[in-house]
Amino acid sequence: MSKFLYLLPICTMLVVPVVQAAGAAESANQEASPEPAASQYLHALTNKPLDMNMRPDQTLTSAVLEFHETGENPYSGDAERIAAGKKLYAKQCQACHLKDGKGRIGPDLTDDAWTRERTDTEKGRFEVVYGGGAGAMQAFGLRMDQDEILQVLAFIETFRQ
Amino acid sequence: MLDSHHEMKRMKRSPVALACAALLCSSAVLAKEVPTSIDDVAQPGGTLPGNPEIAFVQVATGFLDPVNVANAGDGSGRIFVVERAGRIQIVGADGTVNDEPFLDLTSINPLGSDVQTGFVEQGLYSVAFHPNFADNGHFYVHYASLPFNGDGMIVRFTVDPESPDVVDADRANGTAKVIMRIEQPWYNHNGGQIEFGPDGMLYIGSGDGGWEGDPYEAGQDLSTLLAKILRIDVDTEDDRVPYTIPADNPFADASSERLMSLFGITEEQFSKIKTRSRPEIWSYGVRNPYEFSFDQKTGDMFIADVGQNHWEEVIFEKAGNGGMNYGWPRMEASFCHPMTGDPAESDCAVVGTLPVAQYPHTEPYPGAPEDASGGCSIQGFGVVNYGGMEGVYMVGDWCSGRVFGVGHDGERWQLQDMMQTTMQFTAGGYDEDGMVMVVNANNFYLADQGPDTNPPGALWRIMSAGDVPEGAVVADSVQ
Repeated sequence: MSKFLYLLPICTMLVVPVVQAAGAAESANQEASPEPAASQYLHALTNKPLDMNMRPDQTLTSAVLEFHETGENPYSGDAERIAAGKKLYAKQCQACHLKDGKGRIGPDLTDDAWTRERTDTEKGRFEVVYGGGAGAMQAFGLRMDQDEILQVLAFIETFRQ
Repeated sequence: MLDSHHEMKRMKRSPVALACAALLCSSAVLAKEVPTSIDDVAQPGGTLPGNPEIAFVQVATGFLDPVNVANAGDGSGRIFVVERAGRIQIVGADGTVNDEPFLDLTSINPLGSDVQTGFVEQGLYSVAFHPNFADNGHFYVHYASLPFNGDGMIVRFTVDPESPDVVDADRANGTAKVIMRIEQPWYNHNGGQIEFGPDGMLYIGSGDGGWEGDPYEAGQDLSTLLAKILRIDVDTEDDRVPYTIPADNPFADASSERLMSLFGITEEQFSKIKTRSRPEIWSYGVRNPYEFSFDQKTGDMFIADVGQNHWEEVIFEKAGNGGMNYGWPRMEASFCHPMTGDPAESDCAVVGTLPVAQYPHTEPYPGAPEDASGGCSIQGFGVVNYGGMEGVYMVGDWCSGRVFGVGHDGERWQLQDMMQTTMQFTAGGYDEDGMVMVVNANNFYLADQGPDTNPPGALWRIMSAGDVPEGAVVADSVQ
């Protein structure tokens, strides 16, 4: 964790001369706001706004909409969703974070030490799962619907209890 | 091995002698010597001459699990991006990607793909173009064969001059010449890179065969092609002969049949008789040389040797300096393998030649405090000789997205932390101008959904930050 703290001020003033003609507009040249709006999701490493439509065909469930509103995971403590999240975790996360969440290639998820600045909140954890962090911590929003990510987060929460 | 160990110990004990030797030699001669002491192996935190800043400039996107990149050296300006499933895509000099692949190994066999991609480390690994490709149309691929249960196939194909951008199934089958098949006992650590050296020979990166810990002890076993850099001559006079052994390979004659003499022979002469050694071996003791590169200016070779649980390493080999032992599985980077604790507290003999640079995983040794900046799998890109940099081998990590530059500052090797990106790097190569090209993918172990269904990756060019053209798309990074 400490290794990355020094990066954070730099993140906010990232020199990213992205001036691509078309598609880059979604992220280009946007200054990261020090206090982003509640509904704005930022990349965990670069602080640039995330594309919240990476899987256009998904249904934004009431749980997802509620999460967007409150930043609280409606599936927290929900045994059925936690069980579903556990299955998704086994498929998408376990190789790096291990079955018990203690981590190997990816960091330990069982304690309160977080690699990225904002991942000590559920919203920040959503951001890093959805939009990716770095390297193998890819944008899992390309692989899972937002509702599924909330299920995974509800399961990961059980590691810290 | 024992000899080299004793040599190292002696040198470590005699810093004054070393310093005197240094004074006697010109700095040009001394430059780029391989470290003989662990203290001289570069680690993160170093600074390259000029403290260079780089940028990843996007060239093209939309590749499915891109895992390598090459050029044909024929003046066409084409860049060839290798997709793991078994395809090679052409990117034109203007960045446009051809609709039809250059080669598609998924469709040359009517019974199904010819490429095994069941494990994320398997697939089409690399392509290398013959130095005289413009005249003879020969190019070579290395891939995990599905019909041969994952064995590494190195096959030559020949382009039809009438169809320079597409080698269709008929042409592929009609011109295929199998150069080598490397048996692969397990599905991981297959090596992959093949590349012609400045000497015109084909070099092959061959992994230790997989599982973990080198169960075959392949690294130190000269009777197997596994865990080696191989070097062969593909220009055979008789085309029925797949390749010949270059006469200057280090073990070219070591296993030749001969009459036995017992007396009047020196121990050094005896030591060169290795009746089970494979003459294709150029160097040995590597774990998974998935990527290696030649410095196009000097001919020197850099190997990004993927490490096991704790360290990733960069090996440097002076041009033409074969026969080296890089230590695996006795060594993991510059530490003894297996690691059982803090290497500073262990006392063990160094086997073979040390790497020039190394960086740790999250846990640098069993029980070490977690370091979130750690990596897990080194991918070599190429040697940068532009933008104020000279002989800087750029590497990136498949897991951490970090980029390092490895170079020599005239006195010692340096490993500079260039940037933290969001990307998952897989490989690199050169364009025809000698600029270093990089591909990133979105594949991994459990997250792997197959080479054609993972989120796509992209092709990038490494440039000096000051040379990025206006309007270019540059990869996100933090320094």
